[in-house]
Amino acid sequence: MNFFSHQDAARAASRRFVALLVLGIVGLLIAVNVLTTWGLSFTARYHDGGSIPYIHWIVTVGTLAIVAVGSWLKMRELAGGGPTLAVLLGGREVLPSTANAGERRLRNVVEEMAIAAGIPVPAVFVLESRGINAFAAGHRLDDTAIAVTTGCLEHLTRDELQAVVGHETSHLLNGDAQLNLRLMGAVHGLFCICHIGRLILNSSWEQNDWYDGRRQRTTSFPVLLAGLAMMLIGSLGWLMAQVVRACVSRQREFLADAAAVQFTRNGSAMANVLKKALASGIGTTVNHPQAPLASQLFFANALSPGRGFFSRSLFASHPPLLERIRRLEPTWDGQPAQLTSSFNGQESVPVATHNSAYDSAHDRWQNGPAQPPLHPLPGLRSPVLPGPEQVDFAGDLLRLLPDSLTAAAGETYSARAAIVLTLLSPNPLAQLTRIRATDQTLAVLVERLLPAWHSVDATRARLPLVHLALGALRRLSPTQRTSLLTLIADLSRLSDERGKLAAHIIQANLSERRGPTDFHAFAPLLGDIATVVGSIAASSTAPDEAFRAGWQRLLIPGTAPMLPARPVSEVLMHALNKLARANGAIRRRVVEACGFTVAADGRVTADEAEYLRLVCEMLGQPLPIFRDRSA
Amino acid sequence: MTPWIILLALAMLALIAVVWAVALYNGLVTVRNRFINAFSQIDVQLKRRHDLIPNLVETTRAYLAHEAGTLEAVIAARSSAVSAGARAAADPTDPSAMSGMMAAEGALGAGLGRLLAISENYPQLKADATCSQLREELASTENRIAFARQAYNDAVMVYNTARELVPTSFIAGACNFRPAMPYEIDDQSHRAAPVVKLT
Repeated sequence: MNFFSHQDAARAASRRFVALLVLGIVGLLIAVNVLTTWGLSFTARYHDGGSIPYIHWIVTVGTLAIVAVGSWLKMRELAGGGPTLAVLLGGREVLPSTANAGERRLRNVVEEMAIAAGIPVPAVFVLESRGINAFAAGHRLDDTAIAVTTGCLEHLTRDELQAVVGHETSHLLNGDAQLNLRLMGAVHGLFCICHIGRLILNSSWEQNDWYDGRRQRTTSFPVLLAGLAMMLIGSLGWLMAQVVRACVSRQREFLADAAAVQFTRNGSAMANVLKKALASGIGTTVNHPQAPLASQLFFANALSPGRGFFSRSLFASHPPLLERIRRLEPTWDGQPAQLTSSFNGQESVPVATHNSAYDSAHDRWQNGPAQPPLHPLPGLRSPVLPGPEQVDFAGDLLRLLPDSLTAAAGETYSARAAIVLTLLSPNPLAQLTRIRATDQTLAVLVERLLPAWHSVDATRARLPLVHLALGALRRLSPTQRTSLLTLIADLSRLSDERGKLAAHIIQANLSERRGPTDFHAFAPLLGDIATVVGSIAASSTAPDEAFRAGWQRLLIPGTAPMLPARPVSEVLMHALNKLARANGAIRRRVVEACGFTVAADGRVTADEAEYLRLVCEMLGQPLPIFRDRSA
Repeated sequence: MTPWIILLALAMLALIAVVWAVALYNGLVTVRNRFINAFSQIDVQLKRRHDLIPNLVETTRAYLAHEAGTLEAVIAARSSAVSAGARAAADPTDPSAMSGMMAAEGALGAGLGRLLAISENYPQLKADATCSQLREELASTENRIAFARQAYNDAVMVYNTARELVPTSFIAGACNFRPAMPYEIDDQSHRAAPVVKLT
């Protein structure tokens, strides 16, 4: 099986398990109602006139309410963004200015991976723990965190660290944290029912003791029965939900392992990490009181092993290490890897001599048949993951960007200036005046970085710089964020089209809320889709064919419209804004159509690639960085 | 029939109250972590300032032979700011450590202001390349400190508000969540702070 079929299989399995969970809740409701009827028949014998009006409604709604409240509270606890959760779990943030070589290497690896995947750089954290483990958290791509243990920094080579970060990035791209959040919520809701049952049971025993001599059996018996029933049903439901959650979680781990192999050139790196984790004395345990809260987010089982029943395979949140290794290396001999301190304190990256690497990278961009970007993806149901060449390319790109730019983008204060650079039009005088009027010190920073920005190819550097800076801008306080957003809105009016697109992406990432989903059908959007796909086709060597090729992928019945004239940027922005409010299925289809439009003539220039990535990211579907296959 | 319905309702309410209290507690911890993290952003910039000062003093010493007193005062203010800063960084929720840090940084800022004002009178010093570069970096660091301080004060305000609002305030009181201290600059040291001139 190749990676994509693995991925599809794992997704289908996850869907089945979620359906099972829904069935379980329905079963729970039926059981509660049957038991109520049965219980009432008892009480009818002890009391006169047994029936209570609407009792089944009360019981059903009550049960659902308990599950809902329990779920909601749990989800609220975990719903904070990735960095919040990382701090809760005892993480220490690794800032771009870190002087520690191991942490520096971790940051580089995370940055390369994020730039390659086309997502804002996650916040990076270190957990003080000897075990080899890591986790990723965050429900939206603009608020994510990746944390690894100090054990990882100490024992893993760069390739292996890359595999771990790739595994975690795959969790982020697949939205696993969000799925997990829902499952955790359901589990906790069912646990609440069980817990209430136990409370009732306890209190009714106490009541018996209290009445001491005169046994009040008649009043306490139904209470006892209700409590017992709730506890039984609740714990059955809870157990089942636990099993379902664990199953989904294990599937996701296999999926992320497969993804990590795709991310990294070195196929055995992932297996090596797992083998090192097997090596005696290290393990994967993370000692933190809050670790159980997020156990399923971790790379491998973070709780101390062997807690009896619950660590058995049915309830385990992670597949056994042995099985994970075997899936990656069917011929493995069963030996754990030797643990040597593989980090010598040097960040050994391929040193790119500035000009030659830049030129050859540039050549590869300009010449050679580009990789048609979306062909290998079955229907684009999956997020598009970068391959090892793209990760390498992202690394080259980051090293080739002037230090002043990358350093500025890494620090909250100056990241504002870095992000403003990406909005500047080729003749930025009016924009600079605007910045000076708003914030004098920011204007000075921007002007200082301007020569460095002009020295790079904006087409290639724009999105990576945006993603780098967005990582640091996460630390803005709300008021600082608002004033930056105001400035960006102001500047984007004076930007060229690329700048406007970048501004929209930045605004979407920085603002707290996502826009609503207003469109669930293609019909009201056809004109806007034609505008967007047409604007992409316009740069093709054969615009009409490209447009038709893309339109076909939409699978809309009827003939394709004519290629619209290249729209002015206001019309285009309006169309994109409308499409951004369509539901996920429509947006994915549009993204796919755009991809096929670009690839129709068999070559993708750097310019087309940037435009496509800007459009797709605005539609909420980040595309990995482009690199031609011949490299 | 009625007693057990009441009992059930009470048990449910009790459970929801407990879970709710835990959620409130966690919410408080989250905003507290946020302001502690915001303080670490200031701390990074203050350390940068502390690292710049010895170089600045060494460079100016050659020109300012008659102003040894001012230079020593800056050195002394720096070392007390370093130790006060370390105490505050160890526990940003401790008000006394925080006010100590703020006072020490204020004194350092005032000392630096005097030093820079004096150096205006020495044209050779103003022309010295290393010195002007250091002053430039110092000025940029002052801006960064101001920026980080704004973010910190925002986070402190959110935390203090959360701490004082009614249901949360009971939990804050019971679990000893101390009020956080905003980083304000009193007028006197502000006036004496190094003049931020970026060219």
